[in-house]
Amino acid sequence: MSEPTIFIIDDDSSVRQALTRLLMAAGMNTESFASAKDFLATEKYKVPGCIVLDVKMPGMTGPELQEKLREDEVQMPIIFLSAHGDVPTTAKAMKKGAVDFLTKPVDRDNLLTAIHLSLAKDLENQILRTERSAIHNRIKTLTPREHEIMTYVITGMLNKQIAGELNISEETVKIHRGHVKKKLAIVSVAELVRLCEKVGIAPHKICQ
Amino acid sequence: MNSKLKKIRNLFDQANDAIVAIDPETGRFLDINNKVSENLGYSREELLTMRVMDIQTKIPDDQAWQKISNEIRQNGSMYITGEHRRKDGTVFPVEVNAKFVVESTDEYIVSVIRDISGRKQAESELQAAQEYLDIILSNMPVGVAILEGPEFRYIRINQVLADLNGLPVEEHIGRTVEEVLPKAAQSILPNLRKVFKNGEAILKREFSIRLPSNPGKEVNLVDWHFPIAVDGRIKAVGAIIMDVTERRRSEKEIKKQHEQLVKANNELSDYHKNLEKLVEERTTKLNEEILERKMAEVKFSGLLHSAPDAMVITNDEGNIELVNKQTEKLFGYTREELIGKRVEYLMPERFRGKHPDFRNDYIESPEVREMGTNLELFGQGKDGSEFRIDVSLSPMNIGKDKLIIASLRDVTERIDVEKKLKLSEKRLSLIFESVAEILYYISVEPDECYYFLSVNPAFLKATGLTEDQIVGKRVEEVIPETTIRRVLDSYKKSIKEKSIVRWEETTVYPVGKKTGVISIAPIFNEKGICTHLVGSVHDITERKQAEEEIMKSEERFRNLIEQSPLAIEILTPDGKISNVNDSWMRLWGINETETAHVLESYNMITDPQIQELGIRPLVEKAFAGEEVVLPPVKYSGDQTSKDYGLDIASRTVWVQCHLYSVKDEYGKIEYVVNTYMDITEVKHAEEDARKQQEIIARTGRTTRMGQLTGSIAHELNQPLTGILSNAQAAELMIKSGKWNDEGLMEIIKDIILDTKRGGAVIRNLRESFREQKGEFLPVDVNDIVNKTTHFLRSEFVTQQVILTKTCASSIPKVNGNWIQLQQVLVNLIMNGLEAMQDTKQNDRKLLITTAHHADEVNVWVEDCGTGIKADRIDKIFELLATWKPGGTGMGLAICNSIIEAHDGKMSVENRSEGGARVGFVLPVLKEGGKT
Repeated sequence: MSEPTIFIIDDDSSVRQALTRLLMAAGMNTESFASAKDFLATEKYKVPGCIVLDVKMPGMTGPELQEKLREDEVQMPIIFLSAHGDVPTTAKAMKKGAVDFLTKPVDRDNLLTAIHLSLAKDLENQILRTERSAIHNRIKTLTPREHEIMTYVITGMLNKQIAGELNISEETVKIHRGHVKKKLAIVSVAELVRLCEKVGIAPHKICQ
Repeated sequence: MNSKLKKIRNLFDQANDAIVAIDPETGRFLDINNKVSENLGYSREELLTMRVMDIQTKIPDDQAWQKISNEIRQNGSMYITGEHRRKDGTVFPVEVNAKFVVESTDEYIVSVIRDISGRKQAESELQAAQEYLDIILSNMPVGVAILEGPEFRYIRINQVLADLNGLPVEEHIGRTVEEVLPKAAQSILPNLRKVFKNGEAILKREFSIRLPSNPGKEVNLVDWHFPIAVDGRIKAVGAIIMDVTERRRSEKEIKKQHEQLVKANNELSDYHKNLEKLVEERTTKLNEEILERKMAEVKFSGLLHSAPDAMVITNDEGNIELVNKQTEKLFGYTREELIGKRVEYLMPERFRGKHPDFRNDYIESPEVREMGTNLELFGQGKDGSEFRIDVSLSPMNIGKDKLIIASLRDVTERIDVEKKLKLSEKRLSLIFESVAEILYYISVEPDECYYFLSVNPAFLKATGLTEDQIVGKRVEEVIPETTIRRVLDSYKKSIKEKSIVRWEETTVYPVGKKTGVISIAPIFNEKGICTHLVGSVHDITERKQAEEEIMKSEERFRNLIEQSPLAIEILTPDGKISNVNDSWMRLWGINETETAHVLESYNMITDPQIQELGIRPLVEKAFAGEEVVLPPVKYSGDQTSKDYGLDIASRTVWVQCHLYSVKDEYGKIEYVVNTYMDITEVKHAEEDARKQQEIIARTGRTTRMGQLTGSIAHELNQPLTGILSNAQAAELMIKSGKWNDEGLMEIIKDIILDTKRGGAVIRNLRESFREQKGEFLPVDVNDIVNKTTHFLRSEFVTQQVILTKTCASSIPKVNGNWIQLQQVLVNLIMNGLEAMQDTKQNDRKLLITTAHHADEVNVWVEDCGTGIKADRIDKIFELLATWKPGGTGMGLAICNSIIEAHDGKMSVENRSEGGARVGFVLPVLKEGGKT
């Protein structure tokens, strides 16, 4: 994995230059942008790292960029910097998952702590993503029927009950169930439940 | 084509070197000479469709070409070695000298290509010669070794010496003397070191030793040690060792016989002695000569030709004996042309006369040294060109011959670099001399002595001292006694903690009192000892004064409340009155004792009259932190007296209360200010109303300032962020030792810029807070528009409003009060922004226009908001007319009174395309001053 990069986004060139210098002196990779649009255009948010983001900017504001990245399911951690932070903005940004909301002028130690936290979070996100995509790849190999059976299995129903529900033989359910276990490389139902939870596959809703 | 061009074309085509012109972008050949097609086997037409990548193996593709092309563009020219591919597929080595040429608008690269197959061949020939020498070396009847210093590892050894050491040749190579001969090393190493260090040969030293190959027998050896220098620096020591045991034994026998003979014949003894001496001398001399000849060969052939410098060997009469290939290349002569010539032949005419004297002096006391240190030495090539060279000389004796080896290096390029370095130093010192920041350089001596080494002009200017009074003096002699203790402690702290130390200090200098933020940065040498301190002082005298003025202004504000003709009461958060001013007592017509009585019992929240009027919710809102204007309330004197048990006939008044709360930094309400307005008077007398409004204007202005704190904080925190981050970056860089003067200078420059930016914000703030003096001066409305919009910049950004200014060029001045007019404009802009709060983001546009018609100047502000309702448009300038939540109804009324005081008129209308247009017209200042 390449070295993480700290992306500084601030419309004030003097702030940008100073922050770049500070982070470089602290031994970090940095890249800076004068606007949220410039940053989006480069698609840099795909690499490991985090964003140090100004709140007030012409064009797209910091919180707007945060919203846009959320919509695009980009999970890069964000640290907000604000010259005049008001409570509603801060609360909103934090609620939407910002790592920290720092007030300008920002002290080095506070900033570095927030960055280290962000990078740790980013790494964690990446590990989770890798894990999820591995599970997805395995689930893709299931046939539609196997997939359906799986959603029943994770409700905790017995083979017999599932067979009744789908109007098929218990033997058939057993075979499908065996395929699911084999394809997903799992040994227990408990494991299957956890796995589905991780990728957000819900148990089948049974009509009473 | 004219004849000159033709001539150039001819030269180009006939040139011995292949020359091409290349398009820097595509790498395509633009032009080539005959030699190119001759070398590559392509026709001229074919080549003109080809690109560099097609023939140069080192540049395989576009990307590689772009890289090389950019390098050439940046450096101007470049040497590239590589291989060219002929049409028949064979490759040959080339050396390319590429040059970037710009001719009017055309850019191209001209490359001179030299086929260096010949040189490569020569190199392999040289290698063959070296192998040949190796054979000679290994077959020599004496032991020979070359030891590479300073550990003295064997890099060459022949069989004879290896046998003497009792180990195979392979086990010597790469190992040190100590490893190979652990026992004998102690007697061998001192000599090797001596030779390596002094560069002087130790010749013919005889000693006896027990060799590992035959430890039972002591052998007599004679050795020679001599230095081997490459590039004028001693790299290795050569050793020649000869076994003379047999000879010594026979000598001993001869001696024995001789003694016997002495006994037998005394007369013969002298003769024998002479004979013995003669034999020894001649043997040694012969051996020496043989060995040195061999070594000379080794040195000349091996080292001479592989040396990167041009080497010229002359005899003691200055005649050239030998030159290497580099010499031929540097001067353009062939070897044959030079051998036997005087060495002066290689110099420009003007140096030839004196040189033989220098040469003879050198022969007298030969040593290895640089020639003409600090002198500019020149060489002259065959083509008459002159170039600067560095020359190192070393003496060399071969048999009787005294030779001098001169190694020459073309330093034209190096000198250029040195010149550039000097220039950059000069620039740095220029910065030091010209910055406004005070900078000084202190030398740190033992026992905590600090001396001023240098100070910049800013230092002298700020302190009023002369350079003589500072430089070279101890700090105690320059810095006043009152602060010296603190200064010295800070120096110690900075050195001890290896970090920048800062403090604020006020000192009295000849020019007056100065306040500055002093920074001390320690500089350490490579041993970690602090040798210097760099001090800088950022003068904040002005800022201090500004702060004092703001404090004064606050005091004035307090006075204003106390002296205000407006009745003001300060209420605690639970509704009780804590303070009132004189006007308050006048309003109610009661004295201090009676006031104290009211203060004890009154509570605004539970005031029955307020309860009765149904405005208690509004009052509660005010105590919850909102700014509230209560509807007019009539207090009847009799009723009030009864309520508070006062035995007086106090006045009946109509008042309007304006409540606003003052909060602490956490948003908690500290107190609520209630301002009473006697609106009876407003209604009755227009003239009185005008006066009142002017008073309201003041309080209104401070309220407005409160609303603007967000903008001010933003404007001030931006530069502060820059300053803090830059300073902390510098601190990190210095702490980690990864810093250079240029980097720090840039940081300091940025800090200064940001500091100035912050200062400008504070000045602006101060101006807005300053008491209005009511001065009317010639004012440029464009200036007001530009400064005001700049001041409100962050409001536009926050509210995502696009601002368009259309300012009439060369607008005449009006007679007015700058601050008041700015206040009107701030009001109009803020109203416009507020009106667009619910407008779609892309449609939020604010237009500010200035215009000039006849003897009038117009300024108007247009928004794209909701516009003004028809029934309100006529009342909009009336006092207390407000339809905005939280509005005071004072803004536009104050604006109107200000514009009327300027003999102008305000106007308001809805725009056909939506939104409102609010503005004012002012009369042009007439020639002669007064309007």
